[in-house]
Amino acid sequence: MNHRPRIQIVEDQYLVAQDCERCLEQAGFACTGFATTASNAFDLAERDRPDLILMDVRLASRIDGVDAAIAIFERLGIRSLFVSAYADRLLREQARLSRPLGWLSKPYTQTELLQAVRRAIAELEVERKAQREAFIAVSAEATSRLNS
Amino acid sequence: MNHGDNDPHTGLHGPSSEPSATHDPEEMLTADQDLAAQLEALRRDDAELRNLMASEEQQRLLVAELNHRVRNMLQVVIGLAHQTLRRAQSLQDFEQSFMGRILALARAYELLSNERCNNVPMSQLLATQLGPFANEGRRYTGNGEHVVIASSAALSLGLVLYELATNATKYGALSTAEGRVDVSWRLATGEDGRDEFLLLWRESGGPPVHPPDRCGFGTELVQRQLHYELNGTASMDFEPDGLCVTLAIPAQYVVVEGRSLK
Repeated sequence: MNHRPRIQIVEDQYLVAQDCERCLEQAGFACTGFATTASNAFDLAERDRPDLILMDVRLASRIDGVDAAIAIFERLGIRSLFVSAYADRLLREQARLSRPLGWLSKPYTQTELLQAVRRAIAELEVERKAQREAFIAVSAEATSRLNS
Repeated sequence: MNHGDNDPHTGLHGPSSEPSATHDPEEMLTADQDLAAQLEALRRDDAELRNLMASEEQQRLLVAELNHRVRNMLQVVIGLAHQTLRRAQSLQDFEQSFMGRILALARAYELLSNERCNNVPMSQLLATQLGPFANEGRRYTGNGEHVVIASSAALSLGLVLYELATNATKYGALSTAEGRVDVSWRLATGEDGRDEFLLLWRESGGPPVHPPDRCGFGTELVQRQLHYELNGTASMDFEPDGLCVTLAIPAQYVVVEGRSLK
């Protein structure tokens, strides 16, 4: 990424959210904002268009982080790195619709958080590169067809 | 349970396959009664099995929930440790601040586990967080209607009250022999027309107070945590008499006399 990767934090506990922000900022990432509920998470993502969302599964709202992540991915194309204190197989299965960038289980250390975020960003970069190459290939083909 | 002729299988199929054996009305009645008793026993077994399965499922869910909460709380403790460490002047300072906060969380948790419904009476929450600093009640008062704080808000509010109490002990009214803290609470309608729970913390008799030069973690926690987690507010006024703090949280987090507001 050419810019500082921008990350939105969705977490309903202040102490955890704040600790996470500090850790990410110190490591050179930009934190776009915090949300504690699903609808808040969606609104912020729509406004700020972060590169990725650090999404806690259990939120202060009735709708959980998995459903929020699915809605955000389907409508805004932004993917989430899930954080959960207890993620069973069913939950992970449900979350697949949002094309998760990974799972981080609580409690996590700062090193684990940064590793998971860096891995997620690397995955996004690979995806973007592939999209760019596909686009170039398509436009090259279109140009050659026009010229012939 | 009887066997042979009264076995549930022969009991069920016997009459049709061996008609001669069941022509006697009395015998038929006895067989019928046996059958009814066996069916009843089967129903009981089935109900017991269902109950057992339901309670096993419930236990599984409870264990999952407990796991979830423990892991979550450990993450909170990690956050608390990092934040406290960052502001600590020395190792000793860290130890005092960190242990104080962990114990405050533990006290709030204890109240939660004592209450069957998981909600905590406001007066008890105040007593456990402020009591240890205020001569167990001789240097503070708590007045307000009987309000119960929802479990989702009790930890947050408990930690905020602890920060205010420890702050009063270090710099405020409880740092002198004569000072005291008067706390009152009530329900009110906020500026936006919504009901809210208001808590007024008023210190008096202490040394002159002034806004701190730098915002410590305690002050930051008081001002931000309620806002972040409960959409509440906290305002701190350094008045000539002593610090005066007003906390406001949405009424949905409290219950008055057994009824929930909104």
